[in-house]
Amino acid sequence: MTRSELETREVVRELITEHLDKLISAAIENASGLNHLMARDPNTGKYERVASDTEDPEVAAAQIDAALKSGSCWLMKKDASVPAFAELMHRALGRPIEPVEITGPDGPIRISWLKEAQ
Amino acid sequence: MPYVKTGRSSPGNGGARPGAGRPKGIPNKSTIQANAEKEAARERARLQITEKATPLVQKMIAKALGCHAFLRTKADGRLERVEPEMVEQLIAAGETVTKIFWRDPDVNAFKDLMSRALDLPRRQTVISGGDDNAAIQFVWVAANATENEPAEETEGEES
Repeated sequence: MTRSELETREVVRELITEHLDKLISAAIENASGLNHLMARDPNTGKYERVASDTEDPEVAAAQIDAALKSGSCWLMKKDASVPAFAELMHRALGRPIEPVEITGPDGPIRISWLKEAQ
Repeated sequence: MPYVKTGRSSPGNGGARPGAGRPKGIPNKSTIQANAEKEAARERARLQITEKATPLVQKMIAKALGCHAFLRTKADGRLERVEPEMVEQLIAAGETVTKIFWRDPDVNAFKDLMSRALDLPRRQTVISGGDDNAAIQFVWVAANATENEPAEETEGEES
């Protein structure tokens, strides 16, 4: 690995580490189940998640306000995310123990450093 | 006179010269060139990606965090959006505040970011086997030891 690669890796690592607490909190919330604001679409009559089609916080805020004003909205608790739970457990406890069974002829297995002379 | 194939080699009359040709293991010119081109392309890609590493990582962090808003339940039971700065104050005043996600946190982004920052999660392996589930022994084999008689056993690791 070159020096510049190592430097970039370090920059990336620092950038992520800065947000570590928030990232873990978000994953914990995801693993616990998130709340969604659902509202009835006046065109289709179906209940849909409010502001799911935007990335802009201001647009999302306006859509949420409009949905709340309309009165036809409700809070939905989403199921807990299993992948988020699995990843959190892997981080906290390591991956689950993986049993490896070695079968073959009877007798002990010897793992050793072999010297050149042997 | 017609040509008669005798089947015997005739040293001194043609054939490959000893040591001629490309030595074994040495790539030919086209392979060397292809490898150099691939390496240059790899380096170009690496530089392009590295230049954009910070905004890319920031995007990924945003994806892993998801997008949320806070809603307060008013006395009449209706919901009202509140600014994030107000949340602590409202909770302290005993009000019910609910966090809603309009973009869910992305688990794959979280996984990758964690692996970049903290390496992959630890793997744990238990090795077992044999008729009586005997322990596996790690043995330092001394220079004068025979295959069946290790001179020194420094560690016996159980499975």
